[in-house]
Amino acid sequence: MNDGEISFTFLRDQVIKKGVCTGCGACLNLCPYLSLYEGAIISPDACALEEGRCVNFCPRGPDDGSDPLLGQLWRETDPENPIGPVNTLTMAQTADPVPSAQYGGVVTAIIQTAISEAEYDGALVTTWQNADYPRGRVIKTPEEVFASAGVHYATGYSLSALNAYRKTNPKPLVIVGLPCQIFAVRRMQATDHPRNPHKGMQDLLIGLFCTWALSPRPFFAEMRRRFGEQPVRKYDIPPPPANRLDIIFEDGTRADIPLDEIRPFINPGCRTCPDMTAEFADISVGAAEGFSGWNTLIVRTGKGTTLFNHLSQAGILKTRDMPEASRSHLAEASLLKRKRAFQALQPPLSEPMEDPQ
Amino acid sequence: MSAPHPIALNEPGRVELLMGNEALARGALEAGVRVAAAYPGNPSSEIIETLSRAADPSRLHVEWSVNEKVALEVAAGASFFGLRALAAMKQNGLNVAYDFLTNLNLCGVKGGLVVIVCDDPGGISSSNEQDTRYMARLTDIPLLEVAGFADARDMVRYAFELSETIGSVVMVRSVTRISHGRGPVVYGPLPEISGQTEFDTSTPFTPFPILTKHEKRHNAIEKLKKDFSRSPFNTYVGPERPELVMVASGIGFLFSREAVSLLGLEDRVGIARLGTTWPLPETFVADVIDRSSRFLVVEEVDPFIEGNLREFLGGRGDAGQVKRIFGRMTGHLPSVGGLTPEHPIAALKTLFPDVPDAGRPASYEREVREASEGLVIDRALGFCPGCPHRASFWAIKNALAKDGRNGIVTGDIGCYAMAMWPSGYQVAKTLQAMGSGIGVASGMGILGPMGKRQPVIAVCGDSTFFHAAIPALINARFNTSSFVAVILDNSATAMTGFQPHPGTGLTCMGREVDPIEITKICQAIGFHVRTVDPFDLPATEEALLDTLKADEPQVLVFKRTCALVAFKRAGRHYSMKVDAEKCIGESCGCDRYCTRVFRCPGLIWNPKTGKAEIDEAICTGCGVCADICPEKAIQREAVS
Amino acid sequence: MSTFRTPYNLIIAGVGGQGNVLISQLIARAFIKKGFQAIVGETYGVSQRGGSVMSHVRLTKTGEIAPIIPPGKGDFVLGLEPMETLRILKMFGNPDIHAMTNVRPIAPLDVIIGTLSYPSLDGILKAIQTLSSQAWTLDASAIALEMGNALLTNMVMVGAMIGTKILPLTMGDFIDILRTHTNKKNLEDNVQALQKGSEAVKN
Ligand SMILES: Cc1cc2nc3c(=O)[nH]c(=O)nc-3n(C[C@@H](O)[C@H](O)[C@H](O)COP(=O)(O)OP(=O)(O)OC[C@H]3O[C@@H](n4cnc5c(N)ncnc54)[C@H](O)[C@@H]3O)c2cc1C
Ligand code: SF4
Ligand code: SF4
Ligand code: SF4
Repeated sequence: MNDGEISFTFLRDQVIKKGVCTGCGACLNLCPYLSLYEGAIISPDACALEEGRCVNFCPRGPDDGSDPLLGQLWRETDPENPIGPVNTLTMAQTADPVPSAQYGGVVTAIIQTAISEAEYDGALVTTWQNADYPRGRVIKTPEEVFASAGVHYATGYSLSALNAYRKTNPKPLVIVGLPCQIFAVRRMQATDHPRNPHKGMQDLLIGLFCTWALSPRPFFAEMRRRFGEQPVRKYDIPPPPANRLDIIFEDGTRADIPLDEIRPFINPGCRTCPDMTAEFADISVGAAEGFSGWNTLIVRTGKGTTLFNHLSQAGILKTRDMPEASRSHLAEASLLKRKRAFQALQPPLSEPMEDPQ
Repeated sequence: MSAPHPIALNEPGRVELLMGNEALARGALEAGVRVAAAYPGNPSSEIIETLSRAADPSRLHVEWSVNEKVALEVAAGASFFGLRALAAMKQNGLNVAYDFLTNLNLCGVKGGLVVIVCDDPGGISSSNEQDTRYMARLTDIPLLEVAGFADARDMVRYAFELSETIGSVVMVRSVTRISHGRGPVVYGPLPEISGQTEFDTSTPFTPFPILTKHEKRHNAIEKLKKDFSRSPFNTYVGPERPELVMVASGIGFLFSREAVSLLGLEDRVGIARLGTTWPLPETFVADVIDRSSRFLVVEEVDPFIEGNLREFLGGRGDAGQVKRIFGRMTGHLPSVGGLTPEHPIAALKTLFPDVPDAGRPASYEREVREASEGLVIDRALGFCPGCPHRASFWAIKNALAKDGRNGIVTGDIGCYAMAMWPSGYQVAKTLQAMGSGIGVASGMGILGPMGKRQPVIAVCGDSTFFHAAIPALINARFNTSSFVAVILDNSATAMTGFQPHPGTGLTCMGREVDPIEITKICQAIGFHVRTVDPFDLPATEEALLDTLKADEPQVLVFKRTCALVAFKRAGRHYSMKVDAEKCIGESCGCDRYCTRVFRCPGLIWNPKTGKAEIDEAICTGCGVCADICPEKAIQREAVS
Repeated sequence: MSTFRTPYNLIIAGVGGQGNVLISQLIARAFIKKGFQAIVGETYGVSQRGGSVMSHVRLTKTGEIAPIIPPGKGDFVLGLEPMETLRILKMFGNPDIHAMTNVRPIAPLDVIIGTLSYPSLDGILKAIQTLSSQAWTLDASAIALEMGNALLTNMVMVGAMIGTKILPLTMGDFIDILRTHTNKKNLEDNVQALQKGSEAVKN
C-alpha cells in the first residue's frame, strides 16, 4: 500500500510529528515501537518494516485513493447528507437515570444491555481515575459499566487497549469511541494482515459525537498548574452557547475555565477530522442541545436498529422527537466540521499545521 | 607466599618479553622505587598493575590513587622523605595532576621523583590526543622520550638518578604503540632496599621565594642543554654528510629506521634519535644540524621538536646558511594523529623523488581493490554481552522517551562513553573530561528560569565518581541546580582493566579495606539517593521517571557488577533460549527487536529460519533480553 | 624453510575476545627462546568490545624494530575470523604472503543491528586465495566446539599454522612455552587443540 515507505516512519513523520494524529490509539500496543504512556504516544525506537499494521489501522494512514473506507470518510461535503447514514434520528434518555452519566446515560445503558447478551465479550470504554489520564479499558461487569459513565474531553488513545486485549481474546466487543476511533476500528476490521486479530470482528460500535478532543499532556499540565492533583469527578461543556469547561471535583467543589483558555490544548489532529457524528458507528450518541438530561441518538445500521428496538421495547430507553431546529442545527454543525477539515488539509499535509486559535 | 612474579625476579641477564608498560615498571624496580601511585587510564594502566605484582608493604608501596593529582601528591610525599617515587598517568591524567606539578617544580624534590606519562596519539582509547611534551617545557622539568622496550627500562632507571641530581621532577613520556607493544628486555639487577626513612624538618618544600626558585629551575635546564648532549639516549647513525637527517623521537625513531632501510636510503639519509627531548641537547643538535641542510622531524603528535629546532636555528642565526626543516608543520607528515610506518616512508618519497617505490606491485594493488571490493566492513564498538550499561542506557532511553520533554544525557569517561554510539542507543549528548558529565549538568540544571524545559540526566561511573565527580555534585547541591545524577556503579574500573577503587573494598596491594559507599557520600551532600539494579528494567525505568518528575536534585545509583567481572566470578546466572514457536522475528509486532534494537551480541539473527537465537558462546546469561521481547519468546532459566 | 627471511612479519587477526593477544605473546616467547628477537604490536584497549584486533609479531635476528609492520609487508596472516583475515590482506598483503583463516564469521554490531549484512563468505574466502601465495582454510571454531570450548579456537589455529611448517617453530617449541605460561588444568586441552589444528592442515 505504501510503496517501500517504512510504516513506522510514515506514522512518526507524516502523522504524529505533522500534527494530524487524532489520538485514537489504533497504532499503539501492537509492538514495542508505538505505545501509550501518560497520555502520549511513546516511540523510543524505530521500526524498519514496510508492511505494518500500524499505518493500515491509522485513520490518517497513507491514502492512494484505492481504499473504500478512506473514500467514504473523505466524501464531498453534501448538504443533502450532513450526518451520514441515518435509520432513526431521535432524542433519548434512560428510564432509570444513570447516576454519573454525562447526559441521558444512553451510552451506559446500551453497553449494559449489549454485554448481558452473550454476543459480546465485554465493552471497550474510556475511563479515568482521580487525576489520572483517561485510557481505554475492557469492562465486563455491571458495576464496571456504571463506573465508566461520564466523559473526559482529553483523548484516551483508547484503541491501544483494544490492541492489547485482542492479543489474547479474539472476541467481539461493544466499542464506545470518538468518531476517529470508530472509523479506525472499521479499518482494523478491514485490514488484511496475517497478524491482524481484528479482521472481520463483529463488534458493536457506539460512536460519540465530537467536535474536538484535548491533547492530554498539555491539558493535564494546565490542570495541575491550576488545581494541583485534585481528583476530578466530572467534566462538562454545557450548551448553549458552549463557552466554558465545568469541572466538578471529587469533593463536590466546582470550578470552570473559559473555553477560550482551553482551546490551545485542542489536539491539532482534530482539526483535520471531517466526522462529527461518528458516521461509521452502529449507533451514534451526542448531547441534546437545550434538553438537559437527554441525548441525541442516530441509529445507523441494521445491527444498531435491532438493538435500539429492543432497548425501546424493553422500556430501557425513553425517546422523544427531535425538534426541527435541533435537527438543522446538528446538520449545520456537522457540515461545518467537514468543511473545516478539508480547509485544514490544504495546503497539503506536508505543510505543518498552524496552532488551533 | 607464592613464587614471585617474573617482573620481580632479581635475575640479571634473564630475558623476558615485556610490554612497554612492564618495561617502564621494571625500570622503576631496578631503580629501587619505593612508592608508586596512579589512577588507571589507557595506555598507562599496566605500569602500576605490574608494580603491584612486586609490592611489599615495607619495601614497595603501590596504590591506585583516587585521581592523578593525588597520585602525584602521594609520590611527592614519599620523595620529600627521601624515597624514590613514581606517578604514572595517561595524557588526560596529567592535566588533573598539573596544578600540583606546576608548584612541585618550584619546590623541588629529594628522593628521585619520576612522572611517567603515556600519551595516546590518535586517541585510540582516549577522548583527545594531547601532546603532553609542551607541559614539561611549561614547568621547566626535563623530558625523556622512550623509543623501545629495553630503552623504556633504561630511561626510567636513568630518570630517577637525574631527578636526584637536579633535585627536580623528571617526566618520562611513552606512547600507546610502545606502552602496549612488547619486546624482549634483558634484566638488570634489583638494588638492595632497607632502612628507616625520615623527613628532614630543616628543609621545607615550598615554591617560595618564587623568583629564586624559578630561576633555579631555569639554571638547571640551562645546564641540561649541555649535559644531555652527552646522553646515550641521543644518537646519530648515518653518513658523515647525509642529504637529509631524520630527527626522530619515540616510535617515530623506529619507523624512521625501517623507512630508510625499506627505501635503501642508508647512504643518503642519517637518523638522529632524540631521547632527551626537553631541553634540547644543544651541542648534540648543533652537531646534527651542521651535517646537512635538510631535516625531517618525525614525532608524535604535535611539532614539538620541529618547533624547538626552528627556535634553536633562529637563535643561532647562521647567516647565509640555508636549512630546511620538514615535518608536521610543512605537511610532509600529517598535522594530526599518531604515526604509522608509512608516514615517514611517504615523506621520504616526496623528499627523494628519484628513489624507486618499495611498495606493492601495481598488479597486486589492483587485485586487492577488485578481489576485496565490498567484502570488508567495519566493526563498531559495542558494550560487551551482558553489560549492565546496555540495560542502564536502555532504561534511560525509554524513560526519556516517556518523559517526552526531549531530555538530554551528559556523558562521562568510561566504557559508558559508548552511550554516544549505537550500542548505547546514542543517548549521551556531551562527553568531555572525567567527572564532566555532572559538572556540565550542573550548568544546565540552573537554566530553568531562563526557559530551559528539557530535563537533564548526568551519567557517571563509580570510579569516575571518586575521581572527579564529588566536587561537581557538591557544587550542584550548593547552587541548587536541578538534574538527575545517575551513578553507573559496576564495581570496577572496567574501561581500563578492572582495577579496584575506593568503593570496591580492595586495594591495589590486595589488602581488604572498608569500601567507601557512594550512597553515603551523596546522602551526606544532601541528595535523595535511590539504588536500583539496572537488570530490573521496569524498576529502573520507573525510578528514572519518578526522579525526572520530582525535578529536584536527585541521585540514582544503578548497581550491577560489570559483566566481565561477574562472569569470571560466577559464570552464567541464567541459561537462555529463544522459543522458536513464539518468536515472530521480522513480522509486524517485533521486527527483530532483540537483535536490531536491543543489540546484545549474545543474540543473533538467523536469516534462514527467520528467528532470533542465543549465541551460546557469547551470551553471558544476564537474562535481561527476556524482559524486552514483545512475544516473551526469549526464556531464561536460572542456573543453579 | 629456506623462505624464512627476517624480519619475518606474522599478523594475527581476529575480534575482541578471541584470545588473539594471548597467542601472539606465546608465539613471540617461543621464538625468543629459540634465539630470535620478537617484537609484538597490538591494537589494545578496545579488544574486549567487539572491535577488530590485530597483533603483529615481528621476528628478527638483529636489534629492535618497530612493533608495527609497514603496509604490504606481511609474511603470514593467521586469521581467527574470515573478514578480519581479508582486512589484513588488504593492508599488509603482497604476492608472497601466506594466509590461514578460520572460516567461522563473527557478526559485527552493524550486522546484528541489521544496518549492514555480513559480506559473502565465499567471496571472502576466494579473495583470501587470490591475495595470498598460499592459503589454508579450516573451521577451527567447529573443531574447538567439538572439544566443548569455543575458546580453544585460537589454539587450533596455532596448531594449524605450525602444521604448515612455514615457520621454524615446532609443536614441541610451542608446548614448552604453554607449559610455563598456562595453568595445568588447561594444558591438556590446549595441547589437544594444537594437535587437531595441525592434523587439519595435513589432509
Ligand atoms: C472528547 C469528547 C468530545 C465530545 N464532543 C461532543 C460534541 O461536540 N457534541 C456532542 O453532542 N457530544 C459530544 N461528546 C459526547 C458527549 O456529549 C457524551 O459522551 C455523549 O452525549 C454520551 O452521553 P451519555 O450520557 O450517554 O454518556 P455516558 O452514559 O456517561 O457514557 C459516556 C461514555 O463516554 C465514553 N468516554 C468518556 N470519555 C471519553 C473519551 N475521552 N474518549 C472516548 N470515549 C469517552 C465512556 O467510555 C462512556 O462509555 C463528546 C464526548 C467526548 C469524549
Ligand atoms: S505496528 Fe508493525 S510496522 Fe508498525 S511500528 Fe509496529 S512492528 Fe513496525
Ligand atoms: S491517529 Fe490514531 S493510529 Fe494514527 S497515529 Fe494517531 S493515535 Fe496512532
Ligand atoms: S524480540 Fe522476541 S519475538 Fe522478536 S525476534 Fe527477538 S526473540 Fe523473536
